[in-house]
Amino acid sequence: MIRPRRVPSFLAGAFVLACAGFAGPALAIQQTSTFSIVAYDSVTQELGVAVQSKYFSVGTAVPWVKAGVGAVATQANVNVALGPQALALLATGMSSADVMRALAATDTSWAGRQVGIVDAQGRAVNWTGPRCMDWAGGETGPGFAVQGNILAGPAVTAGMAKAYRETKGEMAERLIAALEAAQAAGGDKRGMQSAALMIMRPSTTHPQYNTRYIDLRVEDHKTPIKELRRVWNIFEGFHLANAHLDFADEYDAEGRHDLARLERDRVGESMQRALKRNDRDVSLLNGLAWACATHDMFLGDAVEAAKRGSAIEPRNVDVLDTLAEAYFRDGQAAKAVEVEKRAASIDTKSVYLKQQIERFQKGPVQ
Amino acid sequence: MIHGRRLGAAALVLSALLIPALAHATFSIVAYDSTTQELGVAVQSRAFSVAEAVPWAEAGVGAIATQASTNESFGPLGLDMLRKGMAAPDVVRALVDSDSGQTHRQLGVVDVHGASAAHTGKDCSSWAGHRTGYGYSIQGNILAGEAVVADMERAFLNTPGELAARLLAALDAGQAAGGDKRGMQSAAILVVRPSDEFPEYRTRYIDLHVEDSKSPIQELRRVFQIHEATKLAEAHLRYADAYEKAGRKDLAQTERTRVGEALKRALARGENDASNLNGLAWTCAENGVFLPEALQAAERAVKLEPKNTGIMDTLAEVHFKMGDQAKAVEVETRALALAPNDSYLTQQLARFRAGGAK
Repeated sequence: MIRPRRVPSFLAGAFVLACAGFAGPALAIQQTSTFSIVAYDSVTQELGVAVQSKYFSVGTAVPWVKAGVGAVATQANVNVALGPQALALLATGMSSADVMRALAATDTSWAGRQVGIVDAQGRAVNWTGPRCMDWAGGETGPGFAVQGNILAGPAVTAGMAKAYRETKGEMAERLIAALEAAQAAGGDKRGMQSAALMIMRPSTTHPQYNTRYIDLRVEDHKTPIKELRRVWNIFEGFHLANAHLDFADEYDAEGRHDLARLERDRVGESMQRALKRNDRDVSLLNGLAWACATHDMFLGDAVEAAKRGSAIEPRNVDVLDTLAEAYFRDGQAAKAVEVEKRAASIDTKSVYLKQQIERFQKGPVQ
Repeated sequence: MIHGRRLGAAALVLSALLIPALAHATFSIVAYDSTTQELGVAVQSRAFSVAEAVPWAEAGVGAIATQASTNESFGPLGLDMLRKGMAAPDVVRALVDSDSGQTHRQLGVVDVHGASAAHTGKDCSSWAGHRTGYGYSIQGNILAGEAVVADMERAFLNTPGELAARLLAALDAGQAAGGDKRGMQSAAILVVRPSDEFPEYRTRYIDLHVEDSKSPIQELRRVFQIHEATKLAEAHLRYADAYEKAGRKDLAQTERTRVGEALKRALARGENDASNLNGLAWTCAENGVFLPEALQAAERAVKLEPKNTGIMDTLAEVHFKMGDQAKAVEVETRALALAPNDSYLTQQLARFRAGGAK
């Protein structure tokens, strides 16, 4: 029988069959013990799923998302195909509730399934089959559904819903907060192995965000949620900062300056989180400080982040240049010149640094 | 200025005051297997979460790697073109022609007819270049030298077996030849495959990420080995069934052989992960294939975890499938002694005692 730590699924399959009175050889049925959240953000039009499981590489099985269409989590005695099938139905314009009914009508082992669906209008539904193993259940709220099985108890999904509702800021933060709250409430009875965060977002100028806005995985780890948080923190400082600025440009071009502002604020929020958690990743501090400095926003925080980066790596010319730029944008031209001269004394051949010094010496000409 | 280890140098040339495009100092391979219709990409990079940006593939459509000063939109736009029936060389030409940053881009494309094409912009940091052939394209930038892509090509062409194994062999060879000048951070493998019954394989047959690691290729291989012992073994047997139904016994046989090959690889590398050994042994036993190897794997797994009743059950099942009823009963009796209330084990024991009825 397959009953190892990586495919506990099959054991549960045997269990289900045994309960049902089958006497034949065990079939390989995948029983993932899992908690997940599907969500929709009506402002940014993000659709996302976050999930943790005592199951290898949960990110390839449970979460299915398509921008402008919907987000689906398929789990418990998992029928992975329900993911792409649900998305195909949602794409025809069906509501999440109608899709759930359609899945129920065609799936032959529906009693063992757990599914959460949110559509692109924020209507969320979930289903927990009577054969899902205890504790199994979930709840729905405006724009989201949380669901889990083989959990410590109902506090797990209740905690997820509360954390999602109460966490501010962008969807990814809110989804990870939900996972962390679930784990804090006892999480998955059988422990942890993998986690995933998947968010899609419609974009007219950057089609990659339609299918891959955020797609982070922890395939096999002792503390997958912690690891997901770690890679998320790196991700938001790099890829996501770029994405937010892409969306800001896209919104500005459409005359949606309020939304553009929100996108830029997200980058600042990322930096403030990095400062708050005392992040020591120099390239992350530098990246965020540079993004804010060159967009003339959160300049005080940009100076602080660059200072911290520079304290960790005092001879890193790139970080010094970022610090100088931040000072300059912040109206502190004298300090900018001083810092950039320090950089130029380390990298004496750099034409770029000399140009920067000249620019700073001329003072602000915006 | 951004010139950190995660945001690359190439983009600086574009403009010092804009956020640069994410740079991927990278080596990658895109490939097509005409027998199994798998399309895949494997990639390693000195950039965070390379899976997010570089690899793009869709079953029945094509596979794309977009890198260097990465234009990620090449991925979805290229797949759109391939879906409309454009050949890989035309897709590469169209994408490159449409892009003002083309001299900084690197791109490899393979289509469902095995045609391939690549582009290495003249401003990609050295060493940068590519090699293409029927069914594959290999490309890299900021590499130790041309040997990286040459060795990747040799490894890909000389490795037998399934596409994923050949892609991983290419990554290993690329790294062994010096790899990315700036080191390693992330890796990914994405393989897609047409399936009527299991639509998930069309976009996610194999889809493994290593987002941030000191030895990403090694970690990618580790997670692949778990994958092949569990989900991939299951997928092969599903394809075997589908091929049987379609009357393609030869292809069904190939699928089953893949599981046996995975099992043999596990034995050959002295696999010490009991659950991997157990997963493969169970899959083979259930399907009555590669039973001698399954026996070896199950015995090894039992030795690693002597009190694991699930693994003992696998060993008993293998014995039973090999016609050794006495040993099956003996092992299952021992398992049941460890878990006297386990109804599943009780049923198994009764089944083994009854004999015959496999």
